[in-house]
Amino acid sequence: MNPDLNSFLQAWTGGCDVSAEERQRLLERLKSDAAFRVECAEEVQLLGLVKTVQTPTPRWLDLHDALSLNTELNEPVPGDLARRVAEQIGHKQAAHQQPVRRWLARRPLTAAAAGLMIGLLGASLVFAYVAPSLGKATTLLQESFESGPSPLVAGVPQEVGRWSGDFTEVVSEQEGVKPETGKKMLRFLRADYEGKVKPEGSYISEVYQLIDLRPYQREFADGGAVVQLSAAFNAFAFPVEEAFGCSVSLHAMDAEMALSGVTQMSDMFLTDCLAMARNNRMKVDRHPATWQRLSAELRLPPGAEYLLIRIGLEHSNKTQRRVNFDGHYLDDVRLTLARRAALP
Amino acid sequence: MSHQINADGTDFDTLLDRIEQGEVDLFLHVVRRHELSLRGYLAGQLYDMADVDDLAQDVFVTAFRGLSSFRRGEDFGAWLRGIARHRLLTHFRSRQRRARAEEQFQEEFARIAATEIDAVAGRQSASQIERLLHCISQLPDKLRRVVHAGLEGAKPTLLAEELGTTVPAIYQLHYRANQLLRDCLTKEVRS
Repeated sequence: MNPDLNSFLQAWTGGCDVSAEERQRLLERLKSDAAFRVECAEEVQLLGLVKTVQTPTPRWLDLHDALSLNTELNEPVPGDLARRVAEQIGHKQAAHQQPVRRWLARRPLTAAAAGLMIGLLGASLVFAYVAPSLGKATTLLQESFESGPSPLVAGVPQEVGRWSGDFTEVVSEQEGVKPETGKKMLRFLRADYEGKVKPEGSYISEVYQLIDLRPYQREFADGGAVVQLSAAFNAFAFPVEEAFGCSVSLHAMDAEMALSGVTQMSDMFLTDCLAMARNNRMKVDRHPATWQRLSAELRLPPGAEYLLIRIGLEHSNKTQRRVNFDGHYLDDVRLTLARRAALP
Repeated sequence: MSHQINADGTDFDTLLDRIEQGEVDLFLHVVRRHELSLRGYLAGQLYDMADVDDLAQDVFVTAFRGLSSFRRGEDFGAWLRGIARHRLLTHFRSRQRRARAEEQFQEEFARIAATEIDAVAGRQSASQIERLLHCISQLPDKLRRVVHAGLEGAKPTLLAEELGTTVPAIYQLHYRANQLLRDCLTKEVRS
């Protein structure tokens, strides 16, 4: 790697102090040296792509509005649309697949009656066919906190299928906030947990669940599948000078990282995992009657064995930061695995 | 110019015609097909993913509203990049006064190397981009760690401290990782 390219990348990414004179010298070389321009263009385009494939597709609400659709862009494309697309562009094989049975994902009791539901520590593990042209989609988790044990107050879990994190409690309707689904929801209480090494200054309340991906490895062995996480947030009225932000993230990791306890000792797993995706671009509104949904999507790398999902709520303003939360809630957490077919 | 054909041999233009005739939800199919390449193209000029995603959305909305101006049979990806270039210029102008040093540098580079950037982006096929994640997972541990961390802001400095090396060495490692990723993509295309 020639020194000028190294210097160029540092200037371009802002990763290190590059003097104004050095930046000017690089720009002059770029103007006069076509080969250097190509070399730099190739590097930054690949940097951009590498970053893009490791981040989730955002929720493009303006586009959604422009299309005047009821379909959420981050949700799997509904089967009827997929079938119509397939029919219209002549994809006969996809068009003749089974009718969509997406209802199973929303009706776990019905699914249980059909023998398709498997209880997993209070969560529902069900299967549904979504978007035939995209292949089978599997619901890995659908949680509305109706049953099962309360979340552990122990930080990042090493146990599969059990909520754990900061102080939270499962509650019924409170202060005018009704659960999004069912009769229960999770209330964020504090931004720390029992035994937290550095509780001072905590202002983000988080809950996690570890998912075992190994039974599904065939689904993403070729890198052609994504997991989608979404969660609903709500709060009762809070002071106008305060603001709260929500976040959801997905962390794909191998067994060593997931089960060795390293995730509890350090938050390095946030960047050291095999792949991660995060969405923290939503503020909590002041309408207790309505829930807000936040989602994120991660393309699974072939070597992933476990998936850690993280859901957090934070004091956004520095001046308001404290460890307690007065009335913030989480409900209807959904996690799906779907094939995202290779593009033609 | 690359004429776009669907996997089953039908014409991509047919899909666009149906959208124009009122079946607007089919535009989601177009978005899914071009999302990665468009965001990658923008990320190769901005690097800040929040800005990238906002601009990508603008581009898709503009494309949807101006679909009638797209000449059938031409390269739809190139047409999207044309819209993106225009949006980028507007974006650069809007942040000119408050831009940080690296943002000013990115803008200058985008202006000076516009032709080269477009040529590089035009060579990247959607299927190659799809395979990139698989290639990242094949990298040696140290390089994969650098790639996952990225080069944004203070990350190279933090990573250099953690790995007991220098910031230029982190850039060198990422450069090496990029070379391996290119090799991997080339091999995948051949196979």
